[in-house]
Amino acid sequence: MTDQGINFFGKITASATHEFINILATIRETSGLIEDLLSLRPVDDSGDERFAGILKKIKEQTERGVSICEKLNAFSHSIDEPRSRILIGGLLDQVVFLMQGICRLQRVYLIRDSAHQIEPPTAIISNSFRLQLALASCIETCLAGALPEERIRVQTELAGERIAIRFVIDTNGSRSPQKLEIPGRFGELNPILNDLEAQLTHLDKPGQSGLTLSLPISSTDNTHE
Amino acid sequence: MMKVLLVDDEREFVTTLAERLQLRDIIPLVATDGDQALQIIESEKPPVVVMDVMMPGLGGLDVLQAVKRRHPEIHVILLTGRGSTQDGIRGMRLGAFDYLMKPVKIEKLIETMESACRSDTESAV
Repeated sequence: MTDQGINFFGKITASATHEFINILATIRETSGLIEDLLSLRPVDDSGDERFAGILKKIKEQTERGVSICEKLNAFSHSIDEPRSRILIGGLLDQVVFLMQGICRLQRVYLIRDSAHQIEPPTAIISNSFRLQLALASCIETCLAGALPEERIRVQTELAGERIAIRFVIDTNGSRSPQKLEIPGRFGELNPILNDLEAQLTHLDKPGQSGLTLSLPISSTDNTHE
Repeated sequence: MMKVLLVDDEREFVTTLAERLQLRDIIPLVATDGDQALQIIESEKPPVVVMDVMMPGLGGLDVLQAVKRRHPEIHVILLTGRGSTQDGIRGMRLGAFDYLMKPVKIEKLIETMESACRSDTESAV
């Protein structure tokens, strides 16, 4: 897709998600008003329990919608600047959140591995949209090599002068790890990987399969939060 | 009782929010565009304004600048629905008291409004 196409797509998505956020805000306030009015009624009205249950469902689904819209809105704004300061942890949270639906369709669980994260949180200067595209492609490749009920664990580690983002297929020990096919589309991604100064390799951990995407620290602003 | 001007082009949202605030002994005024907001500010001079950033015509940041020019004592709290915090940060630089992400929990909104009103008392001491 050309830059013009990407900008168009981002603009429309940003506008639509903004509208959705407004709709969800209205639903939330309206259900909140019902709660407020119910709380003014006498305590022993037996119908209130049912109303409370219904309102709870509305609230839960509204919060779910808000979460999705916020992440999608943030994603659509990632094309706004060609290079920006990016907190790697926050960006991974966003990509994992947005890709979970795709993984769920194959009954594969996509998770951020809290035991393997860089501390303190690290920021880099890069192109947010392209980086998310590279990260999502890694997840899709792992998804192609995963079976239902398996997990894809996303880990980060400082490795010398680079940040390593690992995508590990967790088979629960039920089968031998198989080397993933890095599909042809990564050839199409090569210009993007070059722009990011990223290196994509198979996971080098024995007994595990997956991918490692590494980014140079020289593209970081060496800022720790 | 605290008086607040709510400004948002989403009429259903702003009128429902006004009703909820009224149940909490807060006097709400409502505007659905920037021009109307400025008219109400001139006539009512509410101590606090809660305003959406993205509105057709005169946007929240334009109204904020106008308010700060004519009535610097009025506290403006911005509501932004964008995924990034850029609007909020820009608003703070223009003199907003605070910014909150939409949809906002009413308790958080009231807490921020009270904080704005308290800041007048504290600076007067």
